[in-house]
Amino acid sequence: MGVLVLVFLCYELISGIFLQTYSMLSSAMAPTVLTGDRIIATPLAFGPNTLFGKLPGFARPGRGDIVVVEANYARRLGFWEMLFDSFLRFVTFQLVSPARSGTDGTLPAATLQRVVGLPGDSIQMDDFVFKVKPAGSDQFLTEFELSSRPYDISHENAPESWRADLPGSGHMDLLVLGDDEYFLAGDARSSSSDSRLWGPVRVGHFSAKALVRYWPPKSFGAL
Amino acid sequence: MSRGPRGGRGERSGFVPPASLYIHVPVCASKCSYCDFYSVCAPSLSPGFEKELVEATLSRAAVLAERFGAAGFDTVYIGGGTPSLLSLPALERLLGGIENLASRGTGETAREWTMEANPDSLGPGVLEIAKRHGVTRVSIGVQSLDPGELEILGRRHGADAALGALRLAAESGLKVSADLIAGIPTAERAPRQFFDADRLASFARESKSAGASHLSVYDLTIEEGSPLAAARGSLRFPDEDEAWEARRRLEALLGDLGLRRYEVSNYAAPGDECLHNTAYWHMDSYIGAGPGAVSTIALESGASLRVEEPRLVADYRDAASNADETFIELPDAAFESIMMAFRTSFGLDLASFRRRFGIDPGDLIGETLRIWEAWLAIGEPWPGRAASGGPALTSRGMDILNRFLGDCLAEMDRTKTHFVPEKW
Repeated sequence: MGVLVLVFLCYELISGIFLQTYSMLSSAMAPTVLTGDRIIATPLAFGPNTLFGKLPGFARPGRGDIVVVEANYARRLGFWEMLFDSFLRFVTFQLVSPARSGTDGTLPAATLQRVVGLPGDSIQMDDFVFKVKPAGSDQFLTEFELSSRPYDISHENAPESWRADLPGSGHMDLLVLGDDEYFLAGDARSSSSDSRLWGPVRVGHFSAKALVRYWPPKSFGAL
Repeated sequence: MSRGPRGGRGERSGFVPPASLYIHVPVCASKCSYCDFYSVCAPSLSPGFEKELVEATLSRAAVLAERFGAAGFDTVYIGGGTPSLLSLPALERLLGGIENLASRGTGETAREWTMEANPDSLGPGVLEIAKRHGVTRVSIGVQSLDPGELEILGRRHGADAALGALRLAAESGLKVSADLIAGIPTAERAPRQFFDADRLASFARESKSAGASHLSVYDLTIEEGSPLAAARGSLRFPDEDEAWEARRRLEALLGDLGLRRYEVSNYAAPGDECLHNTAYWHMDSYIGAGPGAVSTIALESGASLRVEEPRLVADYRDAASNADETFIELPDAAFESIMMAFRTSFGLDLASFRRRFGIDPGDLIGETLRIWEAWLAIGEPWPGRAASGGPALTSRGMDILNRFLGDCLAEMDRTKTHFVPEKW
């Protein structure tokens, strides 16, 4: 029994602070991360959520980073709920996690998204590509020009007459991010619920930074 | 043997553009006892949930419209669930997007646009938004006007609320349809009631008086897994003769009121038929968006493509990946077409059938049509189409539709070889 408790505490330490694994259930990050891909992410970067609260992180989100975020609408779990969720993940080898699978059983609680805008940025979208004017700069550049890593996006087309303010139009009016506000978007611009819908996200909602895709083996590599 | 005017398998990619749009809103205030449909039940919906549902549904509808080449929509139907349960801002957003899609930016609204509503969630605010965006018709789930029956069905409203909702909608200038349910059981342990065959007709009369110009009367079906299925042992259901007598009296009354049975479960005065459902029965292409909705797109080859949307709201943003797509091969599409057409008093549109499937219906079900001659009449003209003069079941024939379709299917198993091989 003592050994089991020790193993559980070690598991809690590693999975809660250092490394977590996630299985991608949607195509919201296609073509970068596909449905069924599995990744390793570290909560350490932006401050792990532990049973005793959120600890400070050592990094700031950077342009182009892929991050795990709690949805803005997700309810924060209490101590006992987190403990129960940890226990379930431990005994089911990460297969069951009520906290990660949804809120009210209707919406996902955690999503994988890309950091497109940083605090102070001005950001807008034309034809599914974000144009960003960083704070202090006088010109807009595309998200690809500003990102620290290359990536591609995917999208589906709506009819030509589809109004720009409607979802899936590929357009977004200018938005200026405030202090500690980040703009996140999925790479699959037609099938991602992100800051276009939920608004900017504060770093307190960041759960982990994606590091590596380990499944499928042929796609193994850094993200 | 008939040869089709167009080619076969190679033309699967040619879609017949849809002119009908169905939007599914799978939310309910509470689960009715007879229902086993997927829906999210809550007396009020969280803003986050509503936002996700509405935005994902609109986005998907636009993608489907573009993919299948829709040039606006003639008919729109918003069903559920209970669309009127959405908050007013969410409803405004949903209807604004649909209006844009239906008009294709031209400002011309859909010829017919129906929204389903329940009596307890249909208020002046909902009606004002609906009318402003182009809704022309409201379909209200009355189901019954008897308090005991409403309780057994698990409905949240009373008879007064139902009649009030019909009046409110009619006074707003919209066309109104009322849904009623036939064959509702009574509680077994209560003093055994004499079956009142006029009860259904009296509900229809009251609904008509309150403003309904169209009635849908569905037979209660007990779905396994529904609360009513669990309570089946303690309920008394009307037997076949009682149900038939109630339906006969309903039809006689509605006939006196000028509403004829134009489909197995639907009654309206000529010109007041539901055009959207007519498109289904005519097997026209239509798009369905929203969790659990279905699209059926006719292909130029005569076959169909069916797209079933994912049912869970959480999966719906990713509908493109999660939808199931099935090709309906030519003989199956032809049988579906026969099956749907004979539900109606318009019957089989011979010219459309020949044009689409490249074969005369007589080559497929000729023997069945001869055997059933006494139950058949010349079909009325399909709304908005040239008169086809094809066969249709009489109202008494509609009562035994399944037997007729069983004969059609059995004969088609032998005659479907008339389809030329390249049409398969």
